[in-house]
Amino acid sequence: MKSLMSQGSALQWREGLWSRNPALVMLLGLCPLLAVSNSIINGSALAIATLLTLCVSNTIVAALRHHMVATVRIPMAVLVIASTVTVIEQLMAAYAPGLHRSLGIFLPLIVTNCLILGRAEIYARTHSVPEALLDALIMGLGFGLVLILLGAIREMLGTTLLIALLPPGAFILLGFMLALKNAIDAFIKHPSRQSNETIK
Amino acid sequence: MNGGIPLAVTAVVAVLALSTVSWLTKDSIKRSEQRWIAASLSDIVPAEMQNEQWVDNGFLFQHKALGSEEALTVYPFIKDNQWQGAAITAIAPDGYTGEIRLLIAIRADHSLLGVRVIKHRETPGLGDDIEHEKSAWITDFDNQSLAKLAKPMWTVKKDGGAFDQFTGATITPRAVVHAVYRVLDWHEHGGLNALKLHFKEQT
Repeated sequence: MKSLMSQGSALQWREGLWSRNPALVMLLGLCPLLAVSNSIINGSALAIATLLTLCVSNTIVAALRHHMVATVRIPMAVLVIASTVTVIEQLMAAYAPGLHRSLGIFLPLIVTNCLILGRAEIYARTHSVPEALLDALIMGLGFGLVLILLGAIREMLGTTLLIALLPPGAFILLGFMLALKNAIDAFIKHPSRQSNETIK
Repeated sequence: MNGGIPLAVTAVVAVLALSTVSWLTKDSIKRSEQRWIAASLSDIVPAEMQNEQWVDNGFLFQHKALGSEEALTVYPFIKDNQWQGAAITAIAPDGYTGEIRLLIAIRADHSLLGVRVIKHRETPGLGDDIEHEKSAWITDFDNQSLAKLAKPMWTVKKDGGAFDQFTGATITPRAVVHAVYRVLDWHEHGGLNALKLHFKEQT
């Protein structure tokens, strides 16, 4: 866990949680993000399930990276991801039936979350196991935090504003979150606020 | 080249892992499903009709009025050898996204104890108000019967019936109301006797 503290990983954390956030910047995995973010509980459950899947699949893909020949790379990654999701789904059905029921179809649909295959392709297959695991943790957290935040906002607004709970409401609120993130970035980057040391 | 071997090995390992997990969780999943059904039952069935082994008393029964070709579980409530009523699993095949699985509890006098949704895939936020956890809509069925409510009233208000539809979702509640009506109608016209007979033959 030394790498958690290192210089490189500080950048990784900033990218995953903010500048290259999977949900707010790369816009990956929007289908489950929008569909299940109607309450904090559902959002958190899917966030945890996605994080777990991503950690397991990134780890396995990184471990197998020397055997993943170009021709079968994608089928192997899909096989790993689909099996992982199915295992997690079965375990949830057995030991957390309430959550399993409320996530419904979106639990098995984690397989199709392009964030997971995306991390396997972009990162895990060219990095060591600990690096890939850290990447999964960061990206999963970046995705999950947006999911939980959106769930919290929709649940709160939903008591008075029905549209917040409906699918269009999810799109609109995510749009506001993107706009807010871009506004914050623009605010930070504004020339008048750049610290003196950058102007040399 | 030759990626066949790693792919095949991965597939074999995946199959092994999946079958192990499936075998390990099978009993837990079944138990949690039964616990869920027992909890739903105890919700709609008065305490004096309940007894400890009612979930084990369940038997499989097939009839097209229950909405499926497959045999579905019926949980009879027996007291002093008398048929008090039964919770009948039934399927509304015409939900918005496929089947809605219901538990319909009916007294021996053909009136409803109540209805609960066991399983569905209706749109989250719209059609899922049929769940008791999400809204009280399903309790409109409590104590209803064909004697109290004439046939044309067994549909949603939009179609001139007695039951509310939801904002943005009419198909889901309509499917549930129609399924409950079908089962009640069958129960009164031969269904109850068929169930009793089946139960007697079995014990």
